[in-house]
Amino acid sequence: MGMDVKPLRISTGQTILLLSMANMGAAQLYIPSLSYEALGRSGWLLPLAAIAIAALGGKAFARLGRQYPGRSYFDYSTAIVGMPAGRLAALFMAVAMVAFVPAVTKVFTALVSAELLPRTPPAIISVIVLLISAFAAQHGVEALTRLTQIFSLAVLPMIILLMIMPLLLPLEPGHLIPVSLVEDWRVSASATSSVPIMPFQTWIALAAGLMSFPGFTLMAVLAPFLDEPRNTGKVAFWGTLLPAILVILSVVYPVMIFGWPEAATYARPFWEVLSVVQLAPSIPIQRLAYFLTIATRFVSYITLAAYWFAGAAGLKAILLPKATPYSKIVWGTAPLILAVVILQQSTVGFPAGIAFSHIGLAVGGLLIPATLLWIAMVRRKGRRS
Amino acid sequence: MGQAVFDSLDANFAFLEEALGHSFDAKFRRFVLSRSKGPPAGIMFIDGLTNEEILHRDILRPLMLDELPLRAGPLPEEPIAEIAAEIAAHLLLVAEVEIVTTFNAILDGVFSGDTVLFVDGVATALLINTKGWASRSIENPDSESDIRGPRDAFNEDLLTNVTRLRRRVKDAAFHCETLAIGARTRTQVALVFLKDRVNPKVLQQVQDILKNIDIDGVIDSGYLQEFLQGRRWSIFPLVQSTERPDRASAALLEGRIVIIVDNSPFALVLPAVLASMFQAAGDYYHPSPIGTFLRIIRVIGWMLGMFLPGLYVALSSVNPEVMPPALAIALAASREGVPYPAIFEVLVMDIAIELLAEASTRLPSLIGGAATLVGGLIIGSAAVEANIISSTMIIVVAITAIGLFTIPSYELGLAWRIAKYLITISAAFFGIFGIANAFILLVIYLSSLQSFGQPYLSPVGPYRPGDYEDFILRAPWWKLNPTSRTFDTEQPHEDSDKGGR
Repeated sequence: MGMDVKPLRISTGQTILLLSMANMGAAQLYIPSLSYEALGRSGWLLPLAAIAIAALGGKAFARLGRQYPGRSYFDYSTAIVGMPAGRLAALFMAVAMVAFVPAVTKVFTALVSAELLPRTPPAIISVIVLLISAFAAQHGVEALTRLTQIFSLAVLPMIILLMIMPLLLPLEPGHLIPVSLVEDWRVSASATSSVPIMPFQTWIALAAGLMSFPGFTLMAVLAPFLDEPRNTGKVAFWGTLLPAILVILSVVYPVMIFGWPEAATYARPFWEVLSVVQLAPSIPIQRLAYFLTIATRFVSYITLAAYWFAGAAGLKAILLPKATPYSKIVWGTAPLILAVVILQQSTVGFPAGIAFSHIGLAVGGLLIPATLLWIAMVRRKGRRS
Repeated sequence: MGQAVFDSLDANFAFLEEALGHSFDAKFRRFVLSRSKGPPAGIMFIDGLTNEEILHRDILRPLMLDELPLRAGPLPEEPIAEIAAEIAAHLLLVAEVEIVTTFNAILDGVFSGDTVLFVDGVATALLINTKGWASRSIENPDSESDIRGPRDAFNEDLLTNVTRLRRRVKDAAFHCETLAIGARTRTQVALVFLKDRVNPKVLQQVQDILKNIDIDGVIDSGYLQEFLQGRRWSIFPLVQSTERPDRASAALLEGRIVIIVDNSPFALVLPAVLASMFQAAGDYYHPSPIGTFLRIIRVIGWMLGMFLPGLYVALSSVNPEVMPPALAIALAASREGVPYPAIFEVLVMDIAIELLAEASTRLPSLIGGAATLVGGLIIGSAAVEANIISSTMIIVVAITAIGLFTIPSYELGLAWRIAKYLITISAAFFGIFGIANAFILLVIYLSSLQSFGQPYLSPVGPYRPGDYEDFILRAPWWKLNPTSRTFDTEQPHEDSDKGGR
């Protein structure tokens, strides 16, 4: 017999996969457009830093998960720091996760809008992306896990292709753009690199980039669904390490070869694929890469649903009685998320638009869990003494 | 009809005549028991449902000509049950005889082909099994034909169908429970399973559902299918139907439950997952590599059928830039002169194919093929010549239809044919992005479906590596572990909103 499926329970392997796919998808969409812009050619260091930070965060949540089996971060935060502060912390965390959805939706919408549907208003693309993510999120963690399991089958071939293509083919980033657009791209790339970035924005962008890795963001919510609470450590470890490895292979590797911003074209398969098919239609492997990368890009945005589900679960635990279905909170937050996305699209630069989600991610995702853990450890020491 | 049997023969006959509205096929026969030495008696049966040879030879003849060995003559005052038992024990040459005391039981019996015997002065009746009616012979499975494997199909006779299973599974664990469903039809439904393989929780759930069905009549197993599906509005079948006894027998060995409905040649098998409906019975009769190859062909057919119309629309209308220039030019040339958008072409041709398929199903087999040929060839070529559709479109539609017809389960094929429109229409609006969106929506939906606790997309979602040996790959028999393929779900879901039953 295969895996035992119980209502609202997912196995250790399923949890690790969900974490991996969600973080992988978010990182693939997010890091090239934010973190590497901030760090340039040294951007490949970012995932390494993320692993270190995520390992600490994962360890913290593994301990908390074991200490409070069957309960989520949103439940035990109040037990650690008391009712008002714990509720507030939990609320920040939930909002941070929900806030991640518009952030990544914006990036994905930009990709689709630029490469596939240039004449379609971006708001319509965003609405479609959000509708599908909400549809996935409302079905709960079990269906979401199955979904990621199925689509994860497309991820491995893409990573392998991304790894071997630069080795097998004499590709340069300039080759990966339609001939007619090469000159435009050069102008655009140099213009982008010359735009000064506000220091605060850089810091926020780095924090947000790091946020796309750590498994603990989702684990904070997924812990109660884990069928074996004693495996929280294993989930935290692999849920952090696997996506980090995958991102290094598929995103960092091209950066190391090409540098930034040249690698951005490589890390965005739509560009790569469209141009490869037009320039070299006789190379079958590139055609194959075309379909695989497109499929994988879509996987990325479906994993938004995981964050949405996580945020919805958190909000539900904090605000609504337990009998309330997830679907209500998912569809309830949908207009808010859409509003944030449209705000992002209608404004340019920091602090308007994306700032909200960045701050939510940085504060909710990194600072609050660290603070809670610190308090928990201090209390424990106090009790022992 | 909870009325108890009267002790008067006339009263019993009068009650039945009144209840049946003097139906012409309700037959009453009066006679005197034991060479006219016994009391008056009478039988009643429904003409056409009984085996008249048994009736004459094994019931009427001994009742009228033989004597009760112990008590000839007028029946003495003694317990009713004893007299009835005595007649059953000494006179009737039939295996199944039941003593009944209410008209409910009598009517249930005679409507099923039994004959009822009343003895004047006795307030009880004997229900004698005389079932025998004209039924269709065992024929080939038309809707699930295969090159190799048994040629027999279920027919409309419940007993024959159960027998076909029992002949294949000669095991004491083979259990068959029956119940009557339908307030008016009282249709016999048999629940067949292997006691030591079936999941007791799933069995209990199925029994509960069947017992609680409140419906006037069950004419075919399809009636029950809707009750058994957790998601009643799902177009995807969550209960598998089959007319092949070999397939139903294999399902029993996997620990699944087979439901056979009287007067229906289609058995229901549950739990059912998507992968099991992509598998044909013949896959197991060919050598393993051949079976695997056939399954791969079927998956390719499904992919072509699902995505080709959408790709055609997306590439010719929304995203022509992703095609190699030569292909883009060829496609554009084939559409030259066609005044309609690609989506119109696809929808018109898809609907035409659906019409042809429906017409060929309804028409007699002798002219069905000819009509399909005429429709396919003549209308298709005329439409191309009239510049209503492009020649490429004919290829697309033909491959689409053939691809989806390779799916062994007719109901699943229908579901995909409907789902295909979602992908095609989405492609018309958003191109490749639309195809991906529609496909993701479908996968999300399918991920949320369950059939009696079994995730619909297993063994892919969730991963069940142990079941991959009988997924797309059909491992050799010596590698297939029957227990790894059982549908042993420990905890069937009860919340139909979350994922069906």
